[in-house]
Amino acid sequence: MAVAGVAPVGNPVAWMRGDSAPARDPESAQHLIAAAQSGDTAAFGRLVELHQQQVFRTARAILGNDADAQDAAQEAFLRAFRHLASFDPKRDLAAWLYKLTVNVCRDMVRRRPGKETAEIDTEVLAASDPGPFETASLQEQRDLTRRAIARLPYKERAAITLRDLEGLTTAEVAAALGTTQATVRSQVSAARAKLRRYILGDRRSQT
Amino acid sequence: MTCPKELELSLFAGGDVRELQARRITQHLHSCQACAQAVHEFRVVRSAVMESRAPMPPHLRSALPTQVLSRIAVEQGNSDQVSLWHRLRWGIAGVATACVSIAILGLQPDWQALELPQVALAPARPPAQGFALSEPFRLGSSPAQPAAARPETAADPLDAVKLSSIADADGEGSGVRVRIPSDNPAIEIHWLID
Repeated sequence: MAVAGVAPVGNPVAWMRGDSAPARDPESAQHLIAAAQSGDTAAFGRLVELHQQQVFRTARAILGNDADAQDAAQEAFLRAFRHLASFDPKRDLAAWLYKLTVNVCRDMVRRRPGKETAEIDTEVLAASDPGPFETASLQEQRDLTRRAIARLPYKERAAITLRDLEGLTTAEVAAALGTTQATVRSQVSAARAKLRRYILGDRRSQT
Repeated sequence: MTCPKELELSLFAGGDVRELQARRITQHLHSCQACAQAVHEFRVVRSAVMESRAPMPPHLRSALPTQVLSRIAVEQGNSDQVSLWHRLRWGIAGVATACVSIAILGLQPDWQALELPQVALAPARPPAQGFALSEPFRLGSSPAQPAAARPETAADPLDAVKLSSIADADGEGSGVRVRIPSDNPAIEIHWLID
């Protein structure tokens, strides 16, 4: 998987932004994993430090807010610790953590069905907020994009988060979501179409 | 070439189509302004999604590892308590089992298979003569009642079972006395039923 170490190698955006790039040296990561597997909680704490950005970012994109993302990140790392003994250090820890994070987020969304957002009603959204996205401030663009992502159905939200926000390949997303690449492509394309209508307005009539 | 579907264009914009398909769509975009605009918008949206990727807030970044380790410590503490209780519980169960086993084996006389006696019951009848409980039914001794007075039941279908009515020492109550056959002719076994 291209996300060996911690910083997804397949995601140049993360690299350019200087996001925390944990354990680029796989030997170091393997050493920490081995130490954590032998009961060294300090080593596991170091792994948390190295990987918390990717876990938190993913959870926030899927759940839509910092507080829930914090809870999800804690739970994801706890699950990782509980199952660390059975984890093969030669595997990609980042990919495993993506999978755990997505599963935790899915569980949280299931536990609070009342908070699950409805699928985007493109007609309503396009009519109510078709504003000029390109002229909005960067913060406004971010807010609108996050709201749009948060209103996607869960599976599409998870797929688009991993594919376009975290920069994983389709194969990596499929592995994290436990599905096929064809399904991921379908989810990603549907999510992009909905986001296009929400963020930019429905311009299909112009095309 | 007819216009590709919207979903196909969205995949093309994200580089998610095969090379041959990508070449075909690229060729189409040169001649179709609408599809070219759609692809442009998909790329804008994709960039917006990537741009929405803000770093973790600093206060959470410093707190999360501590929070995780604290929860691990709590879990490990609970786990230690549980495992201690498990050890104690199984230890207590083991000791109790051993004690019961020793008690049973220590108190149990020589085990042997006993044949169930053939028993015949007769309705209580008034005694032919007074009968003292304490005298005729001492274990290992012959009853005080004379053998001749005892009704022999050699022809009885139950064979060798002797029946007689009894009364308590006051002559008030009544019951059934059953003689149980024994392999040892010197021993007679009697069973009293009130």
